[in-house]
Amino acid sequence: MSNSNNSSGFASIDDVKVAFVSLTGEELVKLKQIARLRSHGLPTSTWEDLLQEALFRALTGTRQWPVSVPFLAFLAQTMRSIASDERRRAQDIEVITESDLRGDEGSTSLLNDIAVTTATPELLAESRSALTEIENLFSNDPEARQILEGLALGALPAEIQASSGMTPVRYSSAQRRIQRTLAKQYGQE
Amino acid sequence: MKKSVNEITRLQNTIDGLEKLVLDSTFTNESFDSLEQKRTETEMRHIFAASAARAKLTMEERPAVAPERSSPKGKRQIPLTVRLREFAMMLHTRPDIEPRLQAVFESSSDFDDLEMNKIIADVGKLLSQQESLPIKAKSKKSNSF
Repeated sequence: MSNSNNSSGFASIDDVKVAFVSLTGEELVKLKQIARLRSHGLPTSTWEDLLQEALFRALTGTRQWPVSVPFLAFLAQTMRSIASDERRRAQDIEVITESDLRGDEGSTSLLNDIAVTTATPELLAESRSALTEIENLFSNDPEARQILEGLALGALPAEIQASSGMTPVRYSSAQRRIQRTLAKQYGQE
Repeated sequence: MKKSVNEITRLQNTIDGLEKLVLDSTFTNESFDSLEQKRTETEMRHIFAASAARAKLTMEERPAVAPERSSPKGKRQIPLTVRLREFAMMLHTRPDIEPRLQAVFESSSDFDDLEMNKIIADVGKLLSQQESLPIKAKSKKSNSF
């Protein structure tokens, strides 16, 4: 199954295998944390599904690993892409009837043709619920909550510090508390 | 701070930010005992083995990785695995069907992960032998499983 593509800037499939089995215990825990975080609010996939699909794509070459990107970041990015796709599809299939499943020639996506671009109330509610679940992890840490609020709005650290009045030192300290909480919450069963 | 964004974007942004924190963390084993660490490693090995098994089947049957979304006729072609997922998601949005499907799964309570992975791999193999996924639409009056 060798697929050496190093000259094109992508790792081979064998490289992917080696990279995965070479991950340290700490890296595996990080990977699990990321997969569990990423699966929050997804309509169907669990964290195991996400990770398995990401690895499957890497191992079939459907998703190629750029050698310049750390392996863990590559898997994280692949899971992000899979999760985004799942959310997008969930938004796109707001109303389906069984007759919609009938394909004319059996070769095209049956559901992609039924695009409804607005987010469904259900999906919005699921996202809200998933977000609340994450926020509740930090219910006793106002500074961590301020950072989360900033992240939710896509703000930069400097913007979060400016709006919250946190010094860079306090910001870093709150970040470390977040990291510890995530490790405890998502790195264990 | 700025702009208002909908809940889906807020969730996505939050997870993106937290993911970066996880990747950047200088995490040590302080939070985990060795048993926990072992369990994670075992879980990960199983996930990797399942992915590798699926990948092997796919690669055996399609030795050359074909362009994912184009057919010989130049028409848009979605891989069967993706279409299966779409079908599963469609079921998820159909409250009238999902409980019945759920009942089918629940009646098979003795499935474990390995068996499920094998079933998934077998279904994938079966489907990849066909050119398309023939989903037979049932009439609205008789859509029971």
